Amino acid sequence: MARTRTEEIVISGLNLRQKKERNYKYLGMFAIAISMAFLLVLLISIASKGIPGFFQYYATLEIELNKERLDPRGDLSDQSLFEGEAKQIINEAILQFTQANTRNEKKAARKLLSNGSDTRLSEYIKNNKDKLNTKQLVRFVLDDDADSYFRGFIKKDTPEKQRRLNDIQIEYLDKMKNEGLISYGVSDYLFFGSASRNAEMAGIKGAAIGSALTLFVCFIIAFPIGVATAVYLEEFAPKNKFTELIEININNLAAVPSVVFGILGLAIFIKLFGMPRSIPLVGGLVLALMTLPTIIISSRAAIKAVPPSIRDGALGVGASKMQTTMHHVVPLAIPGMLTGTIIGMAQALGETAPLLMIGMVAFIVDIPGGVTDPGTVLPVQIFMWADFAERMFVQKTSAAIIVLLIFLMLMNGGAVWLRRKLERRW
Amino acid sequence: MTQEHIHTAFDEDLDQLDKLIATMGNLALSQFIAVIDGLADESVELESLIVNDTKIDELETEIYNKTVEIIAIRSPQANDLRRIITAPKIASFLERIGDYSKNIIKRRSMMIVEDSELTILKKLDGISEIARELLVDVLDSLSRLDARKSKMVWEGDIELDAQHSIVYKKIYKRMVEKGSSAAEINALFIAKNIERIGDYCTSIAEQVYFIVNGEMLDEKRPKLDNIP
Amino acid sequence: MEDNIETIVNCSNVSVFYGDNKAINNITISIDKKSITAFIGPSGCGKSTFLRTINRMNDTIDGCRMEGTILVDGQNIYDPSIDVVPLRAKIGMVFQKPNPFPKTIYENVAYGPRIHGLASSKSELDDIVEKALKGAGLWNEAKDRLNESGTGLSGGQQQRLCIARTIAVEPQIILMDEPCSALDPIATSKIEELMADLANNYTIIIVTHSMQQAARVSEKTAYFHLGNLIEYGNTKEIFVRPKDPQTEAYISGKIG
Repeated sequence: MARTRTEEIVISGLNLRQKKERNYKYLGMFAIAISMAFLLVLLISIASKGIPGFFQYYATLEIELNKERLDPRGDLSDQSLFEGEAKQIINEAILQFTQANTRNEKKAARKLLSNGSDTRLSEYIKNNKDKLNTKQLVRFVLDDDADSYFRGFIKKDTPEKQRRLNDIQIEYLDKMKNEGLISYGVSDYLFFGSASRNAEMAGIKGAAIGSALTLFVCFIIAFPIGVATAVYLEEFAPKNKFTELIEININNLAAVPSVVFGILGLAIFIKLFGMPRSIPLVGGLVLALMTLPTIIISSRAAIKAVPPSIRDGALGVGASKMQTTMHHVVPLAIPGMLTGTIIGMAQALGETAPLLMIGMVAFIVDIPGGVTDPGTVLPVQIFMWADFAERMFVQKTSAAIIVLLIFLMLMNGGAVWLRRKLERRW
Repeated sequence: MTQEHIHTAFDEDLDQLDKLIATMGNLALSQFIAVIDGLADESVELESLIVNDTKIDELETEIYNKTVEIIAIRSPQANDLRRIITAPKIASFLERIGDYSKNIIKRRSMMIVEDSELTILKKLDGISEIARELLVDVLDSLSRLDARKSKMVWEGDIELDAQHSIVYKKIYKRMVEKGSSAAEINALFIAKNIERIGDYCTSIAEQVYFIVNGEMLDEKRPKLDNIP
Repeated sequence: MEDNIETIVNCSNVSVFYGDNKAINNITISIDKKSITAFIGPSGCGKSTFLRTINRMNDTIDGCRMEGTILVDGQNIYDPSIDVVPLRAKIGMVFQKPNPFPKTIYENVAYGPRIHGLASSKSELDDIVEKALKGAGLWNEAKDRLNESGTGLSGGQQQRLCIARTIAVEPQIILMDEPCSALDPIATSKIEELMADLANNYTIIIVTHSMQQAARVSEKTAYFHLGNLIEYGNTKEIFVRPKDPQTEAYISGKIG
């Protein structure tokens, strides 16, 4: 078949076109490969630093569970255990094992286990009261320096003066290792412990609960107000210069640095209203202010996406504007609103600066019981840990970062899943 | 018969049209039968039938208007279209048949006035009978949309032509031999009218065939070549 | 002959403006009760706009202004004291693209009666839903699927669902804005046949861009052009011997 002029021109240019397309494709693949590589490097470095933070070294010792000494009042109450001699019994056990004699040796031996071992023993007794007055093998956590030794951060060949462990301690630790008393397991302190100066006892439980409470407050305040605002602005507000101004301002607020909200919170909630610092209530309020613009903007988009034919259908049947909006438009916009809210929440979860401004940095050992108890949040906890020198804090910090990242990924993934699941075909 | 339309009003319209045509056909038929039954019998009074012809003409107008209306409103297609487009034509043929019956009556009245012997009209019994059969058959084929029967009618006209030719020659011979009179001339005219009625039956048959098969009967219409 | 037919909608000197643009120019027309009236005309001639003034749907459009009077059943519907909500229950509307709510079939039909408080018990509501679905010719196909989503039906069924939704609130008048333009010919025929049935109980005004449809279904037809009412009369008259040459030109396909 004879070729038309167009065909001739196209065919002659075909090679060049295909070459260009191929190059473009390779360029794209290359770019993706580089970003994947960077991502991989990032993830590997986080993982390699953080995963060890999930584990801890334990030492198992044989303890004589003398009831009268451990539980003088005999009722296993906290007061009784406090008055008991748990610490002494543990020290006796370790001294016996190490055969320490001199004062220096004894001092060295006593420092091998974690300071919280007595609490641990008390917990053990409470959970195993039938084993009182017997000899049992109890697992204890090593002191963070001892733990660091086994991880290889404290080396024998460093001069003794520059080490945190002296030679005697190292000798004892080696002995424990050789007798099989040392084990490596998942750290229960990380998740169930709270802030502590002792690196081995430090955990994220308090910060995690503080984050949860703060986010809860943020959601309770920001979601209803944000959704209601969006509904009002989209459906009911008259279209004039004033509402235009509001819209511009909301859009701008979304771009304001979060620190500014912290300063605002400091000035208004803490100074003006006199609310206490460092409580999830105030933290939640500040984060709510920060998240509101995001929620309003995404909710407005969700409302705009509801097709006018639905509104026409409702109006045509005699529904009032309020009924049309509440019964039809809003339910159809909820998926989009929720998605935007979850993304806003995920953002709030990772915020540090505004919360620092309102003082949620207190060293808080107790776990907050409610929104008016002092607490801290996970990113702030990470920030604080980053300051401490002990090697173990480095690992725990990385581990906490991993936990935070996982939560963020879950929340964002949840938002995507929710959006897909609730997508309706009108 | 045919499937019903989703729009029942369309079926109603078509029914109305069918009824009008059937009514018109029956009127034309009964008119013709009355005429040929009393043709040679002087005692039968036929003049009062002339007024029926007006009704036949009115029906043609009604059918015409109904057809225009249905085409404008329903936009008929295919089979419906053929039924509707042939309706005015069939109505016009029936109107002509009615006219010829009327003319026969008038001619007969003239013969009576001129004191002619109506007995000569007995000679026309044969062709009257054939024509009557053709008309009955074609109306039947129309109401049932029977293409086979309509083709039979279409072919049967040749017999009528042949018989007409024979009668014509007989009367003509008598005129030549015994001298012509008004009676013979009128008889010839009446015979011709009857033959023409047969022709219109054939025309209606062609329309019926077209409705059913969508094409005209292609072969040459059977006709005697010799012109009487 | 037809002088005894009551009129239910009486429009006098109605004009509609979008901002400064006059879309409808001084229309006076009376619609017969319990019959089907068709509005025809080329695209953009204003027939849909005019239809929407009758149930005040134009109120939802910013910048849309109306002059003149429209009486429905003797009442001026643009009187400030009139609440537009019960008005729209009295005058229902079926739209061009079927727009059932993304809810169950039952909910679609029950929504209107529920918000207007037409049923005092669940069984009463069930009865209303059944009656409406029967009236729309959808009951047999829907009765076993009442809890399925309305959007799962075919196009023709969805439109009939929208009709059921409209008649569930017992309107007097049903406005239809090109209800069949998104449907295939069979679905269209079914809806046209349904309309013939509905006209026994409701007044129907249908805007259509299909002249053949107007010819098939309506008793009276109004021809609009560039916002003006050119001719209004019995459908048979309009299609067989229109009086105005503009009407004739449109109907015989001489203008677009």
